[in-house]
Amino acid sequence: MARYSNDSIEIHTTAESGGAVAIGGITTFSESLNSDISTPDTATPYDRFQSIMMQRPEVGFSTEAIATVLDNVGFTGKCIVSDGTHPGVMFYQRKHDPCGPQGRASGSNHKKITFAEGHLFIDSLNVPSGGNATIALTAHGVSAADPPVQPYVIAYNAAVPTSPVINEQFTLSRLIQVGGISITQITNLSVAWNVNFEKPQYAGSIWPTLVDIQKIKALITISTDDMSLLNDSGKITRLGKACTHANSFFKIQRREANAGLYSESAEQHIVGTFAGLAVITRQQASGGSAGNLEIQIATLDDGTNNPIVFTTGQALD
Amino acid sequence: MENILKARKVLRSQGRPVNEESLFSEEELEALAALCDDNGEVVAGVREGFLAIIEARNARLEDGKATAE
Repeated sequence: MARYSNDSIEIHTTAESGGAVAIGGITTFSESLNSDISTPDTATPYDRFQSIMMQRPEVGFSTEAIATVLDNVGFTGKCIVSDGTHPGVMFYQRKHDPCGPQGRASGSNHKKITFAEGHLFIDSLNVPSGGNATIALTAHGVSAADPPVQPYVIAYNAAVPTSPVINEQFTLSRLIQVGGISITQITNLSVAWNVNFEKPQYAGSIWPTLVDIQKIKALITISTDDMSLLNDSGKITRLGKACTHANSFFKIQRREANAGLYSESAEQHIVGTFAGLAVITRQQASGGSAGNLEIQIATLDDGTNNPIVFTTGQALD
Repeated sequence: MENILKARKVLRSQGRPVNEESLFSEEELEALAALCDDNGEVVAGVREGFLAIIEARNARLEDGKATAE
């Protein structure tokens, strides 16, 4: 039997000089080789020759360990660079064994995918009111080696990391401020990084040679049932509201083990400040239910700070 | 410790992960910390200051005067 479930992600590039960072709390995981098959034209209806023309290996995952991710992956992502003691980024899945301890295989019997070279991007952060925040990332494997080598290495005899981070759960805190306007009736907050990039494939290889960032147009979306926010007098006007790091923030509150939420004064939370232009994009209501309003902030580089600055280990008050 | 906290603040302000702090030398951490004011807030010109530190570091690495981790 060969059935597996998500275990953890290990980041151990040359930038992790202090040792590997093992991330648990994996909520989704997907891997794809993205193989394109080349076939010559023939006079017959069926192909008679096939070869792999290109592969763009990717691994996507999401996790609840958002503070650990934000502390270890930058806004423009993380370059996956390896050497003899830093293997890159690894993705682990634990093998099932109904007769094993806790129904899982022990020892070195698990699945591991390694990207020794490439780029790890944060795709999105979703923070629902009352639910658990998750952060989604995608790793893109490349090969710049001469000659090129397979960037996607898979093994079924791996040991899983012993202590991945599994004690991080966060939810939306009670206050967001947009351009100095306080918003309290929040139903959801999300951040889409919207990274536009290329993965050129140069001659002599079927794999991308590098990941080249073109543009990052990060977008913050806030949903609220306070439908009074579109107001040219003192709130978000029809022409939007300018946001600066000094007057715009969102807060993400950490859950505490064997309790509820950490107190606001505990230095356990995450604060994001941002600059950009906030506009109200949509207002809707259906039936007799309360309506909903959506604000989007197209973020901006103000010349001093990154468009969004995340700070972990923060008090909220 | 104060230098490290300020250096982390600078790294965050520039969209860099705070774990990169471990890649910097004491002198570089001090230079990063100098980009914060007494209250620990980044000062005007932090972007240029940060880039200058990175460029100096890269130049040293290329000269073989420092070793990458």
